[in-house]
Amino acid sequence: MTDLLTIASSALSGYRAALAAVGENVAGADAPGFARRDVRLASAASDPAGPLDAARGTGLGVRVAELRRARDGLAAARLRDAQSTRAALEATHTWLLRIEPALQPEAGGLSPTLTAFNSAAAAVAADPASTVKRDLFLAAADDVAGRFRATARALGEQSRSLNTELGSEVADLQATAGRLASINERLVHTREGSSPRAALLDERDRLLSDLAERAGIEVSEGARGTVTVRLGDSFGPMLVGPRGAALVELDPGTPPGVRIAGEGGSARVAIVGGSIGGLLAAAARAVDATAALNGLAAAFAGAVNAAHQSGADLSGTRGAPLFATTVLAAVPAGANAGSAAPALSRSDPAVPLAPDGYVLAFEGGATGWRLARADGSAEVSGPGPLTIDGLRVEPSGAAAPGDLFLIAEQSGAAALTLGISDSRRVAAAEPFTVVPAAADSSKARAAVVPDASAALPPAERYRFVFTPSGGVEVRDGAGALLAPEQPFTPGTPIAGAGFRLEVTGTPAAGDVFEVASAALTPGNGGAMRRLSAALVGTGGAPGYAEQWDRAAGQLSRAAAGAHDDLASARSIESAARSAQEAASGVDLDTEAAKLIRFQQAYQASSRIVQAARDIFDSILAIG
Amino acid sequence: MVNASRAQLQAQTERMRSLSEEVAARQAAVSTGRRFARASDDPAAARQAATLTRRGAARQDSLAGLEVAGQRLTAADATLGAVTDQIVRLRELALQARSDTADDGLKSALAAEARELSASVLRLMNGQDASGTSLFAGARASAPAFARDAATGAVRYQGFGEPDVIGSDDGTAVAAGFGGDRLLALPDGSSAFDLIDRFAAALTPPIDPAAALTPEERATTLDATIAGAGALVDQLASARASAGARLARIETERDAINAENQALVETRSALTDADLAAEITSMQRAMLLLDASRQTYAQVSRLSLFDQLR
Repeated sequence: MTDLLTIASSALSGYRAALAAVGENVAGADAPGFARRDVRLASAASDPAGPLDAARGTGLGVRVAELRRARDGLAAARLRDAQSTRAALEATHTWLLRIEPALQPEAGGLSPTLTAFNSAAAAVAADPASTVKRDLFLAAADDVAGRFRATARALGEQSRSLNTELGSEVADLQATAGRLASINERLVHTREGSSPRAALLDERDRLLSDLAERAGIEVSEGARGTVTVRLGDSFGPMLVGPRGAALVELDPGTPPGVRIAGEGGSARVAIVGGSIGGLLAAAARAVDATAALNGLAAAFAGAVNAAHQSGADLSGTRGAPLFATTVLAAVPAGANAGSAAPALSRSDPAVPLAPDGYVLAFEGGATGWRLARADGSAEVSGPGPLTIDGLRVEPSGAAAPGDLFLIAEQSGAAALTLGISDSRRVAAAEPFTVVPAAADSSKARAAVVPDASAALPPAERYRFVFTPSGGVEVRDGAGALLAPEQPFTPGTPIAGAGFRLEVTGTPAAGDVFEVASAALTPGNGGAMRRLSAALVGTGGAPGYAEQWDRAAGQLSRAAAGAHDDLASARSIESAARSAQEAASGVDLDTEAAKLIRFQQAYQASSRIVQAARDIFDSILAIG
Repeated sequence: MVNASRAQLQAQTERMRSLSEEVAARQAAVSTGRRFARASDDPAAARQAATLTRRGAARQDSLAGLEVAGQRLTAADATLGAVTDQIVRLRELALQARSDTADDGLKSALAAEARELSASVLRLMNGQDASGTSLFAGARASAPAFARDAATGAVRYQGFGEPDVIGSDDGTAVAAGFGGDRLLALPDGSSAFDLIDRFAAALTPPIDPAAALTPEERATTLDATIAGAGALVDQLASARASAGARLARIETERDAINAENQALVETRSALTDADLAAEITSMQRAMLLLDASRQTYAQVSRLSLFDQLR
C-alpha cells in the first residue's frame, strides 16, 4: 500500500510543478525575454538495486524529468537580426527627418535664397544705375550669407545632438554587455533544468534582444547556456566573451564612430545594424551634408568674389570681395569653469595671423590672461586687452583659472559674411569697354582683357590710333599723346593700363579703337551680367542653387529610402517575432486548457491518496 | 496559426499605427493643400518642383530686365518724338527766314526761337530713366549725353560707345537705348546743335558789321538748315522705328515668357499640389479601416478561455 501512496504523492508533486509552470507562463505572458515553461513528467523508474523492491510489480509514479524552456535558437537569432535591421532604419529615418529641415526648411531655405540672390544680381545687371536695386542686391547677398550661416548652425546643432544620443546608446550597449557578462557567470553555477536557471536564461535572452536593438550582433551559445557575442558577423570584434564584456566607447570624430578596446589597444570598429548602426549612418549623411554645404559656400563665395573683383564700382574702383570667407573665433575648451567670452578684433589687419592659431589662457593671480601663438613662438600676458600679431583680444566675463580658449580663423559656411555695406561699392561695371571710334574700313575688331599691365598712364579714355606706317599710337580723350607710335604686330596684344587690347584682323591706317575705363562708364552692368551668369551655371554646369538642391536632395532621398525600407523591415520583424513567439510565446488559451487538465490530474491524484488511506484503514479494520 | 497573445498584440498595434500615420498624412495634405510636406516624402517630385521654381525665377528675371528695357525704350521713343517736333519746327523757322518777306525783326525773333529750340533739344536729349540712366549717352549712362562747352558755346556729345544690353544669353537680350551722337549727326560730321547754332548765328547781326554774312551766304546756310532738318527728321524717324521694333520684340518676348511661366506653374502645381478629392477619399478609407480594426481588436481580445473558467 505504501506504493500507492508513493505513486500518488509523486503525481501530486509532479502536477503541482506543472501547475506552477502554468502559473509562471500566465504571469510571464507579457514579459520580454520570457520563454514558455513546459514541465516534462517522466515515469519514475523503480530502483532495481534495492533487495526489497526486487519482487515489486509496479512503478513508483512520476517525477519531474525536466523544466523545459520552449525556445527555438534559430528563430530567436532571426528575430534579433530583424530587430537590428529595423532599429537601424528607425534611427536613420528619425534622424534624417530631423536633419532634413536644417537643409531644406519649408520656407526660406538656402536654395530659394540663392535664387533670390540670382534675381537681385540680374536686376542690377539690367539697371546698374539704380541705387534701389543695388541696395536690394546687397540685402540679398546678406541673406545668402546669413542663410549659409544659419544652415551650418542648424546642421551643427543636429549633428551635436545626434552625437549625444549616439553617446548614450553606446553607454547603454556597454552597460547591457556588462550585465550579460555577469549573467554568463551566474549561468555556470546554476543547476540544469531549475527554475532560477530558466529565469536567468530569460534575462539573458532579454539582454541579447536589447543588444540587438543597439547593434547588429552574432551570438554563439557555449556550455551551460553562456553566450559569446560578436559585433557584426562571426568574425567581428568580441563584445561579450568568456572573459567578460569589452570596453566600448564613442569616438566623437568626423564622422563619429565606435571604438572597442581589444588586445592591441582600442580600435574603431564598423557597426552595422541596431540603433547605433543607424545613428552612425545618419551621422555620416550629416557629415556629407556639412561637407557639401562648406564646399558650396567656398565655391559660391569664390565665384562671386572673383566676378565682383573683376568689375568696377560706381567710382570706377575695382570691386572688393563681396563676401568675407573667414572669421576669427574663440572656441572655449570643454572643461572651462568660468563664463568668460573674449571679444576679438584685428588692430592691424595687414599683419598675417599665425596659421596654427592662438591659445588664450586665464592664469589668474598677477598674470591674468596669457595669449600665445599655438606653436609657442610668441606670447603676451596681462589683465587684458592683449594684442599679438595685430590680433586684439579683449576678455570679458568671469573666468576661472585654467580656462582655455583656442583662437583661430574659421572658414566654411559658418564664416560667410557680407564684405561690403555701401551699395555704391557694388562692382557691376565692366572695368574697360572698347568701341571702334572711327569708320572701320578694315573690319578689324578689338577686345579688351583686364590684366596687370601698366604700359600707359591711367586715363579715363584711351584712343588707339593706327597710323599709315603700320604702327599704333595712344592718345587720351582730349587728344594728348599718351604713348608714341609703336610697331603693331597682328596677333600680339597691345599693353594698356590694367588691360590689354587684343586686335583681331588687320587694322587699316586711321582705324581708331577707343577704350573707356569704368571711371567713364560706371553705369554699365557687364561685370554683374558675368556674375549673374556664373550663379546660374554656364555650359550645362549646375548653378549654385541647383547644386544645393542636389546635395540636400541626396539626404531627402536617403530619408525616403529609409522610410520605405523601414516599412518592409517592420513587416519582416513582425514575421520573425511571430515565428519566435510561436516557439516560445505564451498562448493564454493553451495555458487555460493546461490549467484545467493539470488541475483535474492533481485532484485525481489526491483521490488516489484518499483511496490508499481507505484501503489501509480497511486492512486495519480486519483485526 | 500563431495564437500567441503578445505577437498578436504587436502585429495589431503595428497595423493600427500605420493606419493612423496614413490618416495624419492625408489630413496634413488636405489642410496645407500640398501633396507632400517635406522633400523626403517624394524626393523626385520635390527636386523637379525646385528645378521648375528656379526656371520660373530665371524667367521672372528676364521679364524684369525686359520691363526695364521697355521703360527705357518707351521713354527714349517719346523723347525722340518731341525732338522730331523741335526739328520740324526748326525747318519751319528756316523756311520762314528764307522767304523774301522776312524783315530783321522777324529774323531776330526766329533766331531767338531757334536758341530756345536748341536748349529744349539739349534738355530732351539729356533725358534719364527712373533710375537716373541717361537715355542717349551710350555706355556712359551716368552722365548727361550732351553738354554745352563753356568756352566755345558749342554743344558736344559726352557719351561713349553703345548702350548696355539688357537681358541674358537666353535670347531676350535687347539694347535699351541709343548712342545720341549718331541720332543727331549730320553727314558733314557736325550735329543738330551745330545746325541750330549756325542757323541762329546767320539770322543774328554780328557785333562786327564786317563779319556780316552776304545774302547769298545766309541763303546757303538757310538751305543747309532746311536740308539738314529734313535729314534729321528722317534719321529720328528711323531711330523711332527701331525703338518701336525693339518694343514690339519685348512685347512678344514678354508674352512668350508669361505663357511659359503659366505652363511652369501648372506643371509645378501638378507635382506638388494635393488632389483634394483623392486625399479626402483615401483619408476616409484609412479612417474607416482604423475604426474597424480598433473595434474588431476590442472584440477579439475579449475572447479568452480563462473567462469560461468557473
